[in-house]
Amino acid sequence: MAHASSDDYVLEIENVGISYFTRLGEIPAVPEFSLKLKRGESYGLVGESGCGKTTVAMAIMNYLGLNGGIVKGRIRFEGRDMATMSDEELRAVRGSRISMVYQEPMSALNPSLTIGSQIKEVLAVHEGVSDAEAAERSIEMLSDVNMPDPERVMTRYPHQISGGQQQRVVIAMAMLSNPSLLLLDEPTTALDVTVEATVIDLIVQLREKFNTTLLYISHNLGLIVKVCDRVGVMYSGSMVEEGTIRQVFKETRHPYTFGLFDCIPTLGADKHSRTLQPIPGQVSLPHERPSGCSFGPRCSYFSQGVCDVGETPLETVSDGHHVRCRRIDEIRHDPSTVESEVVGGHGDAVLDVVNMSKFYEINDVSLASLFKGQSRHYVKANERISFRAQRGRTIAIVGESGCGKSTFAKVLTGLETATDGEIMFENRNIAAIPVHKRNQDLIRAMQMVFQNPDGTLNPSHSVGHCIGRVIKKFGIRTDSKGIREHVGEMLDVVRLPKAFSTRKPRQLSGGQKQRIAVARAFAGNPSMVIADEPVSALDVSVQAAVINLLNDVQKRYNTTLLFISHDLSVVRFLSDEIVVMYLGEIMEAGSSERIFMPPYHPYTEALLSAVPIPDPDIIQKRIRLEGEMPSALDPPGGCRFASRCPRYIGRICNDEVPPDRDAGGGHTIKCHLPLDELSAVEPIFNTRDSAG
Amino acid sequence: MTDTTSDSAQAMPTNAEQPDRTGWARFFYSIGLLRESPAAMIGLSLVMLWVFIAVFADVITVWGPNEYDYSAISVPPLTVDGHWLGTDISGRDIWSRLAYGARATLTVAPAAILVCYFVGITMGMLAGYYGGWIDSILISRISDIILSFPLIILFIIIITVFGASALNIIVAVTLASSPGIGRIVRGLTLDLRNLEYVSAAQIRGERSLYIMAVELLPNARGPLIVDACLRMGYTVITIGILGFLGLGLPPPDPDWGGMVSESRTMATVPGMAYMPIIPSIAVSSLVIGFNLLADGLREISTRD
Amino acid sequence: MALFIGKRLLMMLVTMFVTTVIVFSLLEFTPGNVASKTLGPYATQAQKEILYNKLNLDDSLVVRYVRWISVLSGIIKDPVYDPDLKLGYKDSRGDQYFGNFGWSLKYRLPVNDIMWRRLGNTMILAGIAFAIIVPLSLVFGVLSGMREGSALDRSLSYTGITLTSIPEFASATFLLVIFVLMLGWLPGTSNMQNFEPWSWASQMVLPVIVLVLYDFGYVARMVRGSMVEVMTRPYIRTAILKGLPYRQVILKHALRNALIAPFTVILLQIPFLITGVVVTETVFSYPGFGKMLLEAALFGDTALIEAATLIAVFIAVTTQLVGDVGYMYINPRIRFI
Repeated sequence: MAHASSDDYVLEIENVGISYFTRLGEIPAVPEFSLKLKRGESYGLVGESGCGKTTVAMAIMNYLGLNGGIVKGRIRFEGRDMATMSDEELRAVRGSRISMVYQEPMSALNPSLTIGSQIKEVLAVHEGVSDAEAAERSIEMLSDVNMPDPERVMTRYPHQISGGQQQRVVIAMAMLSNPSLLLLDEPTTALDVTVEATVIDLIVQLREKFNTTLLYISHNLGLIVKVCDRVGVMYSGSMVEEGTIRQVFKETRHPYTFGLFDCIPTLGADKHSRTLQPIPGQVSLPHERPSGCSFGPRCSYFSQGVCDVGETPLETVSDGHHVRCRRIDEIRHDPSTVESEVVGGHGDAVLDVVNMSKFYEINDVSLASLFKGQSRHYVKANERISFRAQRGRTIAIVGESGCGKSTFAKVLTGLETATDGEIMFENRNIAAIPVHKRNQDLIRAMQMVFQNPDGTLNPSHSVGHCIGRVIKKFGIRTDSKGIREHVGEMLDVVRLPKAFSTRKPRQLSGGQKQRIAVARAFAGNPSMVIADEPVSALDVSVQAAVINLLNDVQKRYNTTLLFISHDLSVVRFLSDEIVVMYLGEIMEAGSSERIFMPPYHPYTEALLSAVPIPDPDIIQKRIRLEGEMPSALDPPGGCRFASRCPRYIGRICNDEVPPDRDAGGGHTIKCHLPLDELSAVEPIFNTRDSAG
Repeated sequence: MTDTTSDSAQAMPTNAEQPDRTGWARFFYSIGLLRESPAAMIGLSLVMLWVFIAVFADVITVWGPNEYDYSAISVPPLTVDGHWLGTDISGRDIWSRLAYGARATLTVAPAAILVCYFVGITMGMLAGYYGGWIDSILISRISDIILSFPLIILFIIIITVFGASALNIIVAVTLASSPGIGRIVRGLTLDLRNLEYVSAAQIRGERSLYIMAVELLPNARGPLIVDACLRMGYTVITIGILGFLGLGLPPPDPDWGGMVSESRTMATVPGMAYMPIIPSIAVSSLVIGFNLLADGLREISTRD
Repeated sequence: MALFIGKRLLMMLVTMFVTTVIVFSLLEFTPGNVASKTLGPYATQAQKEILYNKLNLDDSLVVRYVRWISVLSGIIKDPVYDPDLKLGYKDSRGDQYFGNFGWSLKYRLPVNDIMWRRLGNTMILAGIAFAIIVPLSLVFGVLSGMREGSALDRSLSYTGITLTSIPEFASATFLLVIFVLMLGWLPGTSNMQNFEPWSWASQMVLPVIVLVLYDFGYVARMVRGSMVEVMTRPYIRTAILKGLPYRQVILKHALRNALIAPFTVILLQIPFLITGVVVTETVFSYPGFGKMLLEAALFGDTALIEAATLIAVFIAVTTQLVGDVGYMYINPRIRFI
């Protein structure tokens, strides 16, 4: 029987179960999953890592590897069952009718083939066109994805272009034969926020132009809002809530979905006006799912005898809005708000950085430089950095990759020494003292939390050894019993059971590893802790817990926290003051509230405009940056931002270093534009009139 | 040791249920894992068999390795009581020579490997951790030069100049192998050096020696154990070759390569071919043992 | 690029220089030794003294080294050819020319008369082996790496391990027993004294097989490892999901990348085969370079050892240079513009 619906639906996934078969037996990655995509719609699939969203995408492509397979149900694409297709038919569909865009563009492209040959082969295989025609159409498509200089890019290798451009190539390759379904698997996760914004714009633009159906997979609710019409929230292999953007974001019904919203920091609130509410526990493993609702063990509305019996059905609450929860009519969600007083801000300066610069010398040995006679170049990683941090406050350093924020952390901790300027820390100038020349007290006073939970702890040593070493090294306790006690206390502080001290890092989850890292950093009672992207590798529900923890521990010890991040939402929530960096220099600095309101530095303005906001009612002014961040090797002479600045005024920007304009209240903006012009802009964020 | 970035939330809880193993428990657990790979078990058995023969050489043999039995010259295996593997053309018991040869090989090879690793790890750690001129001039250049030196020629020169002895074999193997080990350790160190726990140690002011010994070395052990196992195999081959070329342990001490060399013209003599075949099988089986074991260990270490 | 090659050439010179220093100081450290070695065991005391003075063996090691290099580069005459010594040594090329390696005591000929012929023989043997090993290991390595864990992969893997584990003297023994003793198909020695084509070919078979057996498994495993690694790369997934035929995925996308890593390994088999054939040549009495070197070493033929070592190291470093340049060429990620 031919389905009447086949014309309307591009993709129909009906009760599909997907399993992997391993040494441990069958692992049901996705127990049962259904989804229908109408022609031309854009559907967002959201969930945390391990929830099965990529598995669904791969199942659609019928590419589950040797040990994976669809164990029940059907996936129909344009009315045809993908599972019954021959290899030949499957090849004809892949890359032609269904295309895919991947998370890591660099690894998705073949490093030893030119971009041209990788794009052209799509046309050669699917349409059998001549090389010349393939080249012509490829160049056309590269222009469609706003690739600068497409002819030249055709002859380049992937490593010769930037990450954003690589993703444009992958998108061009996917769109080349005008597919009816485009799968996007976290396509911007590996990109910087301003580049992400341009790629998202491009996806929206292409969709309008080609009327392609999109399945957009992401963990980022803010991006889903920008790209999609409908959204499905996945938890542990099943769909828990589905509906239009407005239904899911504004009329949220499932406890997991509002749990997600409660643990994401938003730009409108900070730690003084609300708390983040992490979802307790962690996702249960596919083969250890509880009976009944799989979210049950983490749900605060869990009711025994109701939620843990039988299959929880997906119920329709209003037209097109489905929720998988048994207690749907009993629970109502109210977001928590708190009022806490602003502390600190009057204390003494723990850290005072004055005109600090860090240059790396590069000896250029190329022939060209030999002829020019100029063989020495400087990478100006940090230049003229000045700011002050008071005791007990949280200072955030914000910027995209390559802005020099990590170099700054290295100079502070003494892994590198400054080329010029002063760093007064605890009343000593440490700018030129490498860590091995610093005395014990100085070292103890400044500790660090790192980004990557998998790299932060030595896999060979136990948690107890790792924290205990700090305690011993800094002479906090010296006897082994005392050290053990103190390790226990620190585990208490980071809310982990004492028994964890014998565990090895591989027995811990990512969030737990970061907690240990926090315990390690605070174990010596430092006066300042540098946290370098401490939560960026974590899932949002875990992220919230670590942010709360950092906040509490910092308060408890009255420590100054230097928080390095690229995530403006987290920064807005956590920090008292913000320093915005671009290409090694500070562009703007000031209190958290002031940074998010005009006057803006043009770069900050662009950054704020690019932040994905998980709220359909907030409209952002659209400011996009052209081109790439210039190399820190011999950077532009005047304003570092001049080459990409949307408010560029003229030669003066290229030739002269801009003044630090004082916008009052310690808020400074490094720009040639006068303050009144900078002030005379609309705020980036506006609330939509949401009558309907 | 493996990286679990994408699915860490999913993978972690199982790991948390693994009991914590340290020291010997961990060692025996690893040996237990080997059981899943039949090839590795064959390898382990072959190696253990030869270790047993080497250790108990004087218990399991009737004749001394250099004793001449003039009543039984060139007797084939399984024909005369007391010489179950037969005798050579001078009437020496092949089984006894084989067993004492195993003892010689399994003493010299591990000793050489230990020295090699000591030198190689030191070189590689210094080069990888410090980088700069220590790496480029002092260590990598010297290694490059030694590595571009044809191995056999190196052995021949060393042994002809300094004479044939166990010590000189160890010196020669060390000189030849430690640059290779140094390279592996250097690579591993470079990979590990930029990990955050190393930065954490640096930031809390740990000394370089502590970082190398406590933070880096334990995490390089997996690949090094596999490599050591492979290198044991190659060293056994090297010792065999030196013996075969007449550069091995000074005669009349039994040595497998020497046994093949002495009797190699017999390979084409009807009824005498067992003389070179038996020691050839011995050396091959020991090397196969080490290599299969290394392969199994590698499989296990990359899987978990 | 030019600079890179220049740098490598300089490195090569340094390596050669260090080699000459090491070899010279190892072999000629004690001057008395040199005199008796040069004259052979039957020389009279008078002859030794004349030579001792003639060669100024009282000079320091450095001075003697410089003199040796000078003879080698044709700057000065080689004193052993001096008729006053009445040694009767004669070199058809004269006693002063570039590349003068001196007199081989063992073969009673100028080194250049014996070494190059032997090197040529070895190159024939090594060349045939190389020509078999490379295509064989590429085919099997790629086929088994394509599908990790397949039956072919497993069997190749264990065959490879087994073959590389059998030392050449052992595999030669087994082959001799099978093909010479039991089957009687092939000759047991390969002294190459019979130039009749069939005999020549039949003499080459066993030495070539021994080399191939020992080396094939190693190279094939390298290729396989690289292939397995490449097949797990995301860009292979991209190629498959583009809808490319499997053949094209393998030939165009996988193979190119999979051959980058083993390229150097394959090239390094050349010096290994040329200098590493000592055992094979000895077993089969093949008149090659390795056997010559071993005999020279056992005899104490200093001039010939020095010459052969220099040549061997030269071959090794030249291959490395070619390897580095070729590697840069096939790997676009490090290609210089």
